[in-house]
Amino acid sequence: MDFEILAKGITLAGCAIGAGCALIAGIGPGIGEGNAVAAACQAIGRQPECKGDVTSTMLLGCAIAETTGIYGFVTGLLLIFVAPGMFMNLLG
Amino acid sequence: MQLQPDVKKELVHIGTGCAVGTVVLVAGWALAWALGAPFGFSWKVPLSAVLGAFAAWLNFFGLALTLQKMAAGADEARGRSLMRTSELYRKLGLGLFLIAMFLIPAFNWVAAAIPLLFPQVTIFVMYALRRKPSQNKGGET
Repeated sequence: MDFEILAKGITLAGCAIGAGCALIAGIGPGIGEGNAVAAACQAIGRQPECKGDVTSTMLLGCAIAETTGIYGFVTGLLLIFVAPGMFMNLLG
Repeated sequence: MQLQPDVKKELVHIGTGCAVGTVVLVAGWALAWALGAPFGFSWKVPLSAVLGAFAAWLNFFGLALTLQKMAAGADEARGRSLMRTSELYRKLGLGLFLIAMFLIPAFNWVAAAIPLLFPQVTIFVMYALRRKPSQNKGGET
C-alpha cells in the first residue's frame, strides 16, 4: 500500500517535472525570433526598399521557428492533463 | 493598422492552408473511424478542428501584425522586445486555448491541437512548391 502511494507520488512528480522541462522549449523560439527580428530591422534600415520581402520572409521564418515551442507546449500540457491519469490507471 | 500587401498575401496563404488542413484532418479522422480505428468521431471533432485551425491562424495573424509593426519602426532593440512580448502573449493565448480544449468536454483536444501546426505545414508545402527553376533567379555572382 505504501509502495503504491510512493509510486503514484513519484509518477505525479515525474509528470510535473517533465512538463516543466518541456515548457523550457518555449524559451528558444522567443530568443531566436527576437534575434531574427533584430537582424531584419538592421536589414530594413540598410535597404528600406526591401522591406516587403524582408517582412514576408521573416514572417514565414518566425512561424517555422515557433514549431518547436508549440511541440513543447503541447507535450507539457499532455504531461499535466493526460499522463497522470494514464499512469494512475496503470498503477491501479 | 493597414496590412501590407505581402503580409496580406501570406495571411491568405496560411488561412487557405489551415482550411484545407482542417478538411483533410476531419476527413481522415472520419475515414479512420469508419475503418474501425479505436477512437470515436462525433460533431466534437470538426468543431474542435475548426477552432484549432482558427486559433493557429490567429496566432499567425498576431505574428504578422507584430512583424509589420516592427518593420515600420525598424528599431533593433524595440523590435526585439516587441517580438518577445508578442511571443509571450501569443503563447499564453494558445496555452489558454489548449487548456480550455482539455477541460471543456464539448471539445476534442486532439482534434484541436493538431491544427496548431497547420501554418507550419502550409509553409513547408509553399516552399516545396515554390522551389521551382523560375524561383532561382540565378543571383549575381
